[in-house]
Amino acid sequence: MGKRHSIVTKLSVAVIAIVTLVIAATGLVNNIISHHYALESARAALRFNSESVLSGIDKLMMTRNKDGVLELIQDISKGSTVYRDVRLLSHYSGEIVVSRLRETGSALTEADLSCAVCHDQSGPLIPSEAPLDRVVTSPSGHRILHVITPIMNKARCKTGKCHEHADSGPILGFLEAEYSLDRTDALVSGLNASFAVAASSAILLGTIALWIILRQTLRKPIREMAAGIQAIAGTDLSFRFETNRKDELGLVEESVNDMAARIQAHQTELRDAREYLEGIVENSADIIITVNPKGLIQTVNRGAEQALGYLREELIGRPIEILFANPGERDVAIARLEHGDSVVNYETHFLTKTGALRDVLLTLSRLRDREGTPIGTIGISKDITREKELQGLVVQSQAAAAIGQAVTAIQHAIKNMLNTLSGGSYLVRVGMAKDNRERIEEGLAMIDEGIWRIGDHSLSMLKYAKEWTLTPELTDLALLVNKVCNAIEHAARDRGVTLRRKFPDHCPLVSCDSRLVHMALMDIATNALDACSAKAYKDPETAEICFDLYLDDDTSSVVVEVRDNGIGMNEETRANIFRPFFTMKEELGTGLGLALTSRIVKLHGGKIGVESELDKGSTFRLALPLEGRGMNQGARDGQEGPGRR
Amino acid sequence: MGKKVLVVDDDKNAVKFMSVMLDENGYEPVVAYDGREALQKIEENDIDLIVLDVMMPKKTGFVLFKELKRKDEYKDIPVLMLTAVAASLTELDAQEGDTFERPYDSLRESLRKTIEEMRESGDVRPEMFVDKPVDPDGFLKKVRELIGK
Repeated sequence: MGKRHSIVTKLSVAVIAIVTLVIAATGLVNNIISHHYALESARAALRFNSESVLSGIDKLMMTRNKDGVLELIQDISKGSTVYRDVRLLSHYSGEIVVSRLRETGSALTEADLSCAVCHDQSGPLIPSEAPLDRVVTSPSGHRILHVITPIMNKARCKTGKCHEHADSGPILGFLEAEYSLDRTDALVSGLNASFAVAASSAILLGTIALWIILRQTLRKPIREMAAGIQAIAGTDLSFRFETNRKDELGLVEESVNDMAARIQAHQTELRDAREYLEGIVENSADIIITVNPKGLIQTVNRGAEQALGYLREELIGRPIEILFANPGERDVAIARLEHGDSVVNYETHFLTKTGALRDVLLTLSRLRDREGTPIGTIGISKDITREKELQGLVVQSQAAAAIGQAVTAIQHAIKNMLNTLSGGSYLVRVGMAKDNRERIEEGLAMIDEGIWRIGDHSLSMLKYAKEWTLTPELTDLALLVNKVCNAIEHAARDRGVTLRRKFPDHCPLVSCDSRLVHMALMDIATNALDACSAKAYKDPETAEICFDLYLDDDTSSVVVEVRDNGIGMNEETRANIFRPFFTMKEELGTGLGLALTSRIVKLHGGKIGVESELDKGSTFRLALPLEGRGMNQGARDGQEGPGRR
Repeated sequence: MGKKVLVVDDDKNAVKFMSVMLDENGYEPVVAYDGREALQKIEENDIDLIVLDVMMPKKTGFVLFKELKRKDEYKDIPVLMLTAVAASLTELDAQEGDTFERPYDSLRESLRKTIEEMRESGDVRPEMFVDKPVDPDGFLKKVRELIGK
C-alpha cells in the first residue's frame, strides 16, 4: 500500500482546478466580448460622428462657407484627444484638402487606405457595399479605427455655384476619421485585469474556505470513525459511536454500531459455548487426555487427575507412554488408530502416580483440523478396576458354588455306590454265616455291580471332563432318531410306554458328528422313559413319547423334538436341568448326562431347550444348524462354566 | 410269619439288601420299585411298615408319601425314609421356617424344599430318617423301634 493521500487535498485540488478552468474560460470569453463590444461602440460612435460632421459640412457648403468647413474639420481634429486625425479628401482631384497630420494638397495614392477601402478589388465598389471602417495598426503599434464617410454628389451640389466640378462623379470627396483605440483597449485591459485579480482572490479564498470546510465535514469525522472502528477491531467490542449526525456519515456510524453489537453477541455466545464444553470435559468423571501429534500430553481433565493421582502440571508435556502399564498394549492401540482413526472400548491398563494398576476401557479418536491434518489424539478412558474386581468376586463365588455342587454330587454318588457295595458285603457275610450259597452269590453280584458302577461313574465323569472335537459328516437325522427308538424299544415296552415318530417327507442332511448326536439323543430319550415310569397314569391316559423331526426356516436348522407325557418338572428343575451335577436320580445318575448333551449341541452351533409342566410332561427340543453353520466357532470346545473366560 | 415291611426303592440292589436284612431278622419283606407299584402292594397287602426311598426320580417317593398320609386307611402306617443325607434332613427338619441356603448343594436345596412341602401339607413328617449307605444294625434298630420284632 502506498502513501495515503488526504481525501481533502484530492477534493480541494479537483474543485479548485475545475473552478479555475471555469473562471479562465469565463475570463477569456469576457475578454473577447468586451473587445468586440468596445470596438462596436467605437465604430458606431465614430460613424455617427463622421455623419454628424458631414451634415455639418453639408450645411456649411450650402451657405457657401468653404472656410467654415475647413475650420470645422481642423477644430475637430485638433480638439479631440480621441480623434487622431480627421481629413477631408477630394475625390475629384485626388488631394488632401484638410488634415492635421498630413500635408494639405498632397496627392492620394492607391496605397492609401482611403483608396484601398473601395479600390481593393479591380474597379470601384459601390459605396454601400464597402466596409467603410477598418482596424489598422500604426507603425508604432497602436490600434486605430479608420472610418471613411463618402461625400455623395447630390443634385444640389451640381447646381451650386461655388464648385467648378458640376459634372464630377458620384463621390465628391471623403471624410476620413482616425480614431485611436488606445483608450478602449486600455479600458478593456483594465477590465480584464480587474477580473483576473478578482477571480484569483476568489479562487484563493474559495480554496481556503473549501479546505477548511472539507476538513471539518469530512476529514475530522472520518478520522474519528476510523479511530472508533480500530478500537472495535482491536480489543474493545463494547465501543459505540454516539451518533447524532443526520447525514451519510451518521448512517455509517449507526451501521458500525449494529455490527459491533452483533459481533459482541456472537463472541459472548462463543465464549459461553466454549466454557460449557470445557466444563463438560473438565468435570467428567472419565479420564480425558489429549495428546499432540508428537505423542506428548497436552490437556488433562479433573477425572484424569483423580483417577491417576497426578496433578495436570505433572503430566502436561510428558509422553503418553508413561501412563500405560504395558507398552505392548499401547502399541496395539496406536496401530488400530492408524488403521481406522478410532479405537473404541479397548481394554487396557494404566499406571497411577504411585505405580498402582488400573483397568480401563480406552476410546481413542484422532483430532483433525479443517484440512484434515492430524492435530492430536483424544483419549477418553473409563476406570473399570472396581467393576472387574466385582466381576472377579462373582466369578469366584460362582466357581466356588460349582465346585461345591460337584463335590456334593460326587459325594452322593459315592454314597450310593457304597450302599451297593455294603449291601453286597452284608449278603456275603449272611450267606457265609448261614452257609447259604445263594446269598453269597447274590452278595458277590452286588459287589461286582458296585464296582462296575464306580467305574461307570468315573468314566462318565471323565467323558464330561474331556475336550471334545467333532468329526462331522452329513447325517440323516431321521435315521439317527430311528436308531435311538430301536434302542429303547424294549425298555419302553416293558414299562408300557408307546413310542411315536413324526418325520417330514424329506429332511435335509445335517453336517454333524453322528456318534455324539446319537449319545445326546439317547440321553434325552432315556430321561423321557424315566419320566414316564415315574408317573402314575390315570385312565385313559397312557405313557407316550413322541419323536418329532422338522425344519425350522427361521433359524435354518433341523429340530428334533422329544415329547413325553411323564411326570414333568417344576420350574426350578427345568431351569437347572442342563447344569452339570444337577440330578434327580440320586443313585444312578451323575447329573452329567444332560450337561454333556447340552455341550454337544452347542459344539454343533445348535440350541437345546426344554418345556415342562409338572405331572403333564416335558418336551426337549434340539436344533442343529443346516450345513454346519456356526460349527466352526465351537468345533473345538473347552470346559464350560465358571472359572474360564 | 413276621410283620410285613414294604421296601420301596428304584435301585434293585438296595431293595435286595434291605429285603435280606429284614428277612434275616424275622420280617417279611414286600418289594416295590416305584411309587405306583408301591401303592399297588399296599392295597394288596396288610403292610406294617414302609421303608421309602425319597430320592427316587421325579420325587415319586415323596408323592407316594403324601398320598399315604392323606388316606385315612394308610396314614397311620409308619414310614421310614431312606436318603443319602439323613443327617442333613434331621437338621433341616428341626429348623423352623425358611432358612436361606447358599446353592452349593442342589440336592440339599431340593431336600429343603421337600421338608417345606411336608410342613405345608399339614406338619406331617416321616417317623424316621435312615441314612444311605444302610448300616444294617442301625437300620434294624430303627425298624424295631417302629414296629417291634
